[in-house]
Amino acid sequence: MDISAHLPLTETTYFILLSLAPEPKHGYAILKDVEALSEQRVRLSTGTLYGALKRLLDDGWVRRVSDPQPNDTERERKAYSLTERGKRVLKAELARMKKLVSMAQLRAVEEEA
Amino acid sequence: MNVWQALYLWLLRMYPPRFREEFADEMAVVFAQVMQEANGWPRWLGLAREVRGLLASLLIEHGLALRQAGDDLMTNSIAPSPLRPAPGAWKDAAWAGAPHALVALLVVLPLGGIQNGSTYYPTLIFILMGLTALALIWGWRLGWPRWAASWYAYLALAVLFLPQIALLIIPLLTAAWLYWLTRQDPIKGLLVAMPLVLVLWMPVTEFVEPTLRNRLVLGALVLAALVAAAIVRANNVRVGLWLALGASLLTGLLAAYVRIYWHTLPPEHSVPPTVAGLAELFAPQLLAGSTLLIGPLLLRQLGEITKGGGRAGVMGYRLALIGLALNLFGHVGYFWQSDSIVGPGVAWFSALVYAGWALYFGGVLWLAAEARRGQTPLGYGSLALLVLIPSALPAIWMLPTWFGFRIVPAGFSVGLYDLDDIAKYVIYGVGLIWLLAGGGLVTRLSLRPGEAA
Repeated sequence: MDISAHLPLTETTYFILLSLAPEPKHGYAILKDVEALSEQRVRLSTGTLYGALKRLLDDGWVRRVSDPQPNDTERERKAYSLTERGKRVLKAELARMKKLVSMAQLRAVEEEA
Repeated sequence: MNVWQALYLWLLRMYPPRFREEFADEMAVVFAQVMQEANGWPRWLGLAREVRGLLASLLIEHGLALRQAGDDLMTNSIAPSPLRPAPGAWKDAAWAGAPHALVALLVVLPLGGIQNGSTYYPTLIFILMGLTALALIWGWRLGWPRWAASWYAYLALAVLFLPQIALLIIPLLTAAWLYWLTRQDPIKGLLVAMPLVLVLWMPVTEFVEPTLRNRLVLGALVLAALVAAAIVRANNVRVGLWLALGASLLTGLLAAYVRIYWHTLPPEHSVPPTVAGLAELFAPQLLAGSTLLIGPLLLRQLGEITKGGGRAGVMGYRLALIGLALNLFGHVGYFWQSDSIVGPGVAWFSALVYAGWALYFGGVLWLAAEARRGQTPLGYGSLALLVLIPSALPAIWMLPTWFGFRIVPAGFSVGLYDLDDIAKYVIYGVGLIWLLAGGGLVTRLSLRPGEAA
């Protein structure tokens, strides 16, 4: 399926994918990372995060993996990682944003000239 | 665990079952971590964000679950019933029969009274509504097992509290509900329709002496309990359909017989009953009730051939369904308008009836043409029957009102009740052929491919 049909991403989806880009993370780590990436502007609730993760799992953009971080609880913690498809979507979204910014910069230069 | 975590865990139970199973444990852990990270004011802000996010997420997930169910109606493969399906568990069968047995028990208990010569059950209705609510909550927790469908029918009690104008859309809502359930699971559709069909016989017993009437109600409920249990145990649509039709036939014969002998006077003072009188009470009601059982199964089978008709076939199918809904609404509206000065007038409802039929035939012929092009396994004969039989569903549903309330059908100049006995017998005969053809077609088409040949 054409990836551009899924663009633009919602802010929540974008930050979750971005958070998972360098390494797999568990739910709480994603919440904290999204806060940090958005400079405390986007604070996801647990419900919003898992609703979004469900959609991303259904679409095949993320998958579950064993948590690479040590865990002090008895339960096995689940972590989420980007799939190849998820990486392609994120890349396409970044390219789209880059294009928007470069177009805006071009227009600004033209106006200054 | 503090009180907020306990509350959060409780709220997590409200997610749709599939979501809950997949994420609830993780969400509880993450929530606990979020709550541990801050103290004082930020903690309260975090809690408010979590609760608000959870409530919004609940709405979204339930909305998506409903949409998924709706999509499944149009796209899911409907597997034919196997010839010898594995029997349902005895426990599930018992749970399926339980609501009707329970209502029978409530009827026996002195919870009602006599008012204007009729029995009324105010206490029973409230107890029943409470138990129904509990059973439905339990069914929801278990992911709507089959037996829960036996309780759904008692949601129809809500009709008692609706204004009279709501009667206009109740048949349409009931039809849509049964269709939706049947597309998901035909056994569930039968479990809901069967008690409704038996309850529809009760107005026939109007004016019958209350003690006698109560015995009939009790008998119908016990029969409903046994048939519901048998349907779940048999786990077979064909067996279930004919069992439910048989239960309706038996209840109806008794109801019509009792009523004809006890109209407004005790039997010894009544006018001697006639076969024509018995038939007029019995046949229209039997046929109308059968539409609740056969109709959703026929439409399900019609939906099955959309698989061979591509997107155009699905469009034709949807058009046909809208046409039938319009036709039913027109019929009911015409009946209501015939006795009311408020409303747009009978001509409007009559136009809806015929527009609905036109839309149905337009859509269903389009579907049939696309299905033939897509190499449907159905022969011309079966396809023609599958196209024609559902077109009569709304009209057959209206038969008791056309006979009992003496309303002239939309577009007709003569009422059916005015016809002589021979003409009436012809109508009952045609109706009986419709019932047998519809039931037979559903039975044949629910066999495995190849067995129907």
